[in-house]
Amino acid sequence: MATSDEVLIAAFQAGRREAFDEIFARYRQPIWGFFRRRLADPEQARELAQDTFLALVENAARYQPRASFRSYLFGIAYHVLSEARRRAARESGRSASTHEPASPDTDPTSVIWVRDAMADLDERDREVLMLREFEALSYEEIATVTGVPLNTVRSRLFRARLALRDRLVGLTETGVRR
Amino acid sequence: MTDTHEIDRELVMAWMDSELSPAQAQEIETHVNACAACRQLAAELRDVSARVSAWTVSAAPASLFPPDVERRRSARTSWFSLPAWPRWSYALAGAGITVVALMATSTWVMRSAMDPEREIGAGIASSGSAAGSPSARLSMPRSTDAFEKGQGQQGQPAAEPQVAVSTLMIVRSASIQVLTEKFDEARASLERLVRAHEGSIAQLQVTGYEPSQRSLGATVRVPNARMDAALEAIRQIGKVRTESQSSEDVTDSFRDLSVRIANARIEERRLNDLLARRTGDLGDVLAVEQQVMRVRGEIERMDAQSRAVQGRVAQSTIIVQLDEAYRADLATGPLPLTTRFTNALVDGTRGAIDSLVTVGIGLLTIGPSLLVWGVLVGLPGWFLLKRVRRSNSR
Repeated sequence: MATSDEVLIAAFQAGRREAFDEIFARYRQPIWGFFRRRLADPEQARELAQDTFLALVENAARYQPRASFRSYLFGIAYHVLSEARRRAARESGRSASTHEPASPDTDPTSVIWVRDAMADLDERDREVLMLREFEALSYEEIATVTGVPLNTVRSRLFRARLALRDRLVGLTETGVRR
Repeated sequence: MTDTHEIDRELVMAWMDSELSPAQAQEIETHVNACAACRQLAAELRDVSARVSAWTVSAAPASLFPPDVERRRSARTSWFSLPAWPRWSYALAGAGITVVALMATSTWVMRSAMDPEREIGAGIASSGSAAGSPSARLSMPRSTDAFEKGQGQQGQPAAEPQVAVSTLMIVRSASIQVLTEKFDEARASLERLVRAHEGSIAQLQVTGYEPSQRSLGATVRVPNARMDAALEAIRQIGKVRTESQSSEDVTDSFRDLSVRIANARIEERRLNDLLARRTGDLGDVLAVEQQVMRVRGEIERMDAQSRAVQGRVAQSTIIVQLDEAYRADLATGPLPLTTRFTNALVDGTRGAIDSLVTVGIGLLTIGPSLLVWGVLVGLPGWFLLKRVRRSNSR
């Protein structure tokens, strides 16, 4: 039976380096995917993913078992992404909430619809949807990461899914993007 | 349009996501089984999730490597440490210390005003200065040794996770020369410890043969984080004769390279946008296409450089020299005596034949010249000599 994330982070807090290696191996791809789907530049995505793990090393002692480690780590990633967007907005004068959909890495015909449809969503709804569908966080974990109430998470997720459903129906009926 | 459905449709979604309590889930499931509209909704939401999940991303790049935990631990040690208390406790402690300091200072001021020649007490003087200002002490950064046990830890005041804008990139290398009496065992130990530290042997060469002194030279590559441990293990193989380490800080050059890559990508995007508009004549379009190709080539070249630098940072190089200790031996050498005598006889015979061949070649080389000059000079000379003798005899 695999060791839980919470046990691993506790071992790392106690000074066991190999515990962090296991954590890194487990979350390397998920954290990379988190940034890759939200940023067009893969190099920037890599840098922010690296920054996330650095922040985890430097702040491992702050983790408390009352929250799941998964939500703690994605909370760090969420904060890293927010800081990067704010920094970019200050430098370029654009809005800090700019969504930069990444180029599709797999079958372009199937994911272009997803990418474009999600770009049209409200940014807060979109973020909740992505945390649920791609990072597989629970409603409570999403609430912890984003700092909004659980009912708000549920409402945003429902709104986002309905919007995508309507868009999908429009594509099915007309064959072109509405 | 008002939704008069008896069940909140969001709960149907929450039931689909397994986010309800068991009792609530049972209630919703019973309703869904009896309600075609809710069944339809659940099916549609599942379809949306399935389609969204089609958006997969590529594998994480090899350049995404784990941070050097050991270096983070050793680089931020401090003589001072704070435990990981909640933020409010630090704020409360800071406020309390500030109040005490102000009260003590005001008391001292008042006493000094009353009696300027009064000696200042050590406790009053130390309350505001020796310990440093509370805010400054609380703002000292936390050491990553915070998860180590014991004293000497430095805590971090309440703050959100720090975003490392740049990572220090150091290329490390070392060379070590070890003397051993058990050469074969030492070699096997070296290969084992390289594997144990997730490294590889890029190059290996063994010179010499038994019973003479043997020597092994190897270039070992290990992950940066494992270099110190690997060196320590190598030291245990034998007696260290020489050792040296070096490091090269490539942070600035790598950062410059990254900036150049980013600028090149921006330029590429602009050129592609320009190309997409397709304004201007064919010559202009071709010129832009050439620029796009040039920039793309530069990006790929710089990407390769970037990956190479990251590879050098990720993997440290250790040059290992393993020498077998000299031991005197009465053995006559690698070959038996009879073989050596036979070899000498063969070599001597070959030498004699070679000398005869050399003489023959020499004669054949100068022979024709001697013959020609002998005819050209000798014949006239012989005739002249004959005439002189004949005239002398008359």
